[in-house]
Amino acid sequence: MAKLVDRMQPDLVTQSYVIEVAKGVALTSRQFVRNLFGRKDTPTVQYPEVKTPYPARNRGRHRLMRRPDGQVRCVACMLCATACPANCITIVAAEHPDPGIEKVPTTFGIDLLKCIYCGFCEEACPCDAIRMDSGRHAIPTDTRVAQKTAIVSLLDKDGPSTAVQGGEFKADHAGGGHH
Amino acid sequence: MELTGHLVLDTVLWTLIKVLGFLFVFVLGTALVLTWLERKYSALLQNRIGPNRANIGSFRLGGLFHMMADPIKMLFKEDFTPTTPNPIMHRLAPYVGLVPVLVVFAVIPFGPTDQMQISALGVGILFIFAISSLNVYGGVMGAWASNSKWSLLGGLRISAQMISYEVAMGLSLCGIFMVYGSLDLQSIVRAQGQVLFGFLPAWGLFMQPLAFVLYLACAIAENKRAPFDVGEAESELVAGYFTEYSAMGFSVFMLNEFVEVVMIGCLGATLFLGGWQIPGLVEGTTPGMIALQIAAFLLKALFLVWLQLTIRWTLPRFRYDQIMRLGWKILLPAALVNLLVTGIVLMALDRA
Amino acid sequence: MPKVTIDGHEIEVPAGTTVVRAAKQLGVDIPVFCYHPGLSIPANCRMCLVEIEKSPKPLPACYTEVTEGMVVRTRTEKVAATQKSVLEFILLNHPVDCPICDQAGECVLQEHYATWSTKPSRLFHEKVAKPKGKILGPTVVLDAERCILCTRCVRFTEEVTGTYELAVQDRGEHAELTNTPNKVLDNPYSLNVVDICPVGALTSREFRFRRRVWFLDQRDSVCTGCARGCSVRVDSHGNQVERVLPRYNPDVNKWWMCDDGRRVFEVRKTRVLSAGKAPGTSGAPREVNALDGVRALAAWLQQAKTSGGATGVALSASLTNEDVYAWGRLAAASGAKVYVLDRTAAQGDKLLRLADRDANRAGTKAILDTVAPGWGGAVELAKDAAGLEVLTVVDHDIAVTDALAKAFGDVAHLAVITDLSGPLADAAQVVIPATPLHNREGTVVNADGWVQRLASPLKAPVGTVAPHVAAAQLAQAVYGLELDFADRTRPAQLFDHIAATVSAFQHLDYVEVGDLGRGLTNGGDLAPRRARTEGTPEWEPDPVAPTYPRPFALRRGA
Repeated sequence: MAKLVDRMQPDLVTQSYVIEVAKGVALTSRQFVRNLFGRKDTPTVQYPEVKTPYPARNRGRHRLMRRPDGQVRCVACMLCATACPANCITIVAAEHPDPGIEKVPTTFGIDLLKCIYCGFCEEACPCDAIRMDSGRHAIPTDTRVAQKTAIVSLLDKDGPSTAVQGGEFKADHAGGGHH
Repeated sequence: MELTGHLVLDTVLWTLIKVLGFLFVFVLGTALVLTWLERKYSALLQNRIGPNRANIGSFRLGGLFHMMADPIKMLFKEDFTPTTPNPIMHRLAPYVGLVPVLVVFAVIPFGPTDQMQISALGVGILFIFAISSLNVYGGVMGAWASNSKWSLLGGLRISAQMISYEVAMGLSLCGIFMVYGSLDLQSIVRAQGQVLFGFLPAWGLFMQPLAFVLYLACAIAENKRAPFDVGEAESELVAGYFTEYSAMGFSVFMLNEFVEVVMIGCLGATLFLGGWQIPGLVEGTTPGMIALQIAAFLLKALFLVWLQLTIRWTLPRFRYDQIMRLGWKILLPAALVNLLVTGIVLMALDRA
Repeated sequence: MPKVTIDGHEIEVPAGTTVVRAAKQLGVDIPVFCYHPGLSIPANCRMCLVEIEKSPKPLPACYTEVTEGMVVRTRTEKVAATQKSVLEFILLNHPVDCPICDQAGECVLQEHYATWSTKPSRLFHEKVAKPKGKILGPTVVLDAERCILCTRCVRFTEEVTGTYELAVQDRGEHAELTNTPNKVLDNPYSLNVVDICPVGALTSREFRFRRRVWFLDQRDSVCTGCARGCSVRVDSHGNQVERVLPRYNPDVNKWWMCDDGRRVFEVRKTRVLSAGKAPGTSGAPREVNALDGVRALAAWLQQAKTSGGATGVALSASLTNEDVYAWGRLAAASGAKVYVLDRTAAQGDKLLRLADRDANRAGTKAILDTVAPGWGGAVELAKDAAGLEVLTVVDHDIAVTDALAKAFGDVAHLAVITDLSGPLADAAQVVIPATPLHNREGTVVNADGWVQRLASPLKAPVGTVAPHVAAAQLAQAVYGLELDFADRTRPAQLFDHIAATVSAFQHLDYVEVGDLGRGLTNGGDLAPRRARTEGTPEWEPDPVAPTYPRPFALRRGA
């Protein structure tokens, strides 16, 4: 609901502006002096040199987890691609030599220009294969091609998953998790 | 070294030296520094960092190199000309704006002795009125030749605004002529060397305090800077009358603005702050004295530059109708009253 | 006829009708796994157990025939408990690897579990391990763990193809689907077992892992592989056909289709024409799009018209009725002779495949008899070729025999409208890229005189032209003819013209032809409804085949 505010009725002295301008100048000048000798009021972070740490639950660039033996955890079920509201995940599946694993991605591409970093892919993943806890932010580039993360770069990221199949979390399992 | 003794120099050469020294070194130098200072200073006022990235090697000097980097960038950028029936006018406009502002400095006395003035013109102040009013042509021409609605609206605003404030400014300065009885700026400065009531220097500021306030307000409005910058109001008109300017065209408009800041400072110092006068000191004749008094003038001018900068980053922008009302309904009557009172007081003093 | 009450609703059905069919007619769904209307009824999955009054035990609805005064209840607690028990039993050793299972999304087990049970498993032992990824034949691969032993596939090879390649070996929890000794599943209808498999046990080696089914767009169409014209559903993703499935049509193919028909798209993809061709200014051929190709042909026809040279039009017998009509009208009006050419004949069989591989021979014949009487075949063309100044071949994989190759060589100017590269496109001086048949709308008539609509979810490739559009352009540009169609005439409008002109089509309407087609009039009588004579009821699509709407709505096409 709109809030009604009474129109200010300044007296003649205020309306002459002279005093008010002088007050204003005094205020800004005081701030100038404060800032000249110390930067207590300045919240700016000098980005490339100084980096603020990301919060623990930050959703950064994706990484694909590995099995303990180093293979990709992903079984190319495409649930992430199904859940993805931006349609940015491209998976090409192939037969895995081990019939117990059966399906494996030969291509796991994410078009980071389309990605909206919503995290639905990691929510949807039934095998803890894709995570967004890499702590890396979106790639700052000006070309279309550089935004497409191929399977190789996704697989390069980190070590084996700390989760076990079935959703239990092993606290004592030392891994590459960031939590 | 006694300057008066060295007047064997050719008049033209001497004038050139003055032009170079005062105009190019002080005025344009200050304007150049202002391009960086305005951003850095405003950042300090607003708890920001400001420009600090330009560097030579590992030296950054608080971003001082931005004032060098920017002109270089501007020189190499594409100078875009919009589709317009008047491309020549479009190209010419920034310079039409800049030249009058530079010419005005010809009559500013920046030191004691008649030589410390590029041109000792008897009707100095009228010259300033005449020339500085031409400044508006630059903006209006640019606005018209840009063939853009934003530019045109901005151009209309600045022309109306400048005409309005020209009147109040002229009237506010009339009091000064009446008090000091001269139109010659050097004479006005000399007259300010007197002492009032035994302790107060007879500066324009003390003789005509209301006129000083009026002058400052009108001058800032003339310069189209905040809080009177409706002509380029970026929230309404993109960039107003220079929306369609890029590269050097744009930077000349900006330079124009900063030179005018210096001009207002110099004129204000001359008329209201006693010019090169240092209270208690007579007109200098030795080089040391002259240098001291030139420095005093420059410092006073810089003080007014600082004041303008601070006001610009302190006050929010007026609405267009508020500007018009302020100009016509407050500043103009106030200037008239000031004139009337000055006249009455002068007549009373004459009778007495 | 016995009257039966199912869940309080009464219905009178012919004697011998099973409960599950009667219930279906009432709109009552009884879940089934092993029952298939085209196969015998083993009643081995027990999913369809219902309560029948006066019976002490629940009875299988698929097998029990209705009797007078029978009262059936399908929604009682007892039935629900039975269904839950059956599902728990079936799921006991099922791996539940839905995320990597190709059937997920169109899996009957998923559907039934979600609809009738949702009970968690109580098994705490290891599940029984069985072979995974076992190759049954050149087209089908088996995951024995997912198999629910409904034996639909076994019955298919026994009853439909009669090849006996599959069997269930061992008993109890060791029971396992396998090849019969010394046999591989290599019959020409082998992929039907993938369609009828209610779970992901049997998967197509070609489609396996290619695309999750919920990404597919579905479009009803007709197979153009042979003159049978099986009703199919084309599943595509993006602008690419991913698989072709048979669609139940009692008058044409019932539930089945051959493996060759499913591969029509794949095979044609390997032969697709890259660009058109026309003589350049220097005489050397240059690449052209359809529009420039039509211009080059128009220039020839103009020349022939001025010099009074004879022209001819050779039509493939696989074109749509609309193409045939347009070219027939153009040929008749411009005085060109019409010839009909064939595809290479293939091995036919008794089930579906026909030796004649032209998709629209019956329609071509019926239309040309009316609009361009006196049309000939390859023999007439060979005879006339030397006298022809311009011959326009509207191709759909015409077999270039030696005689035909010689005829093409005799013709002064040979133009081809085609979407395929090959000897015909090589022989022609002008090649106009045609929109492939499977990228167009239209109608075809199968060997039994059954008219069906052709449709494709694919976009027509840029720079191609549908033959009927090319005919309209030529009619206007060369002859200035006022025909009853123009280049913007839709196939549906052309079909109306055909219905108005050709007596065999006179009772037909494009909309009315619908998904399942209509018969041509055959001297006043409708074409015989081939499959209806075998007494299959109207509603008989496979109750568990993936033909119902998608299991859950999806939002995307690409």
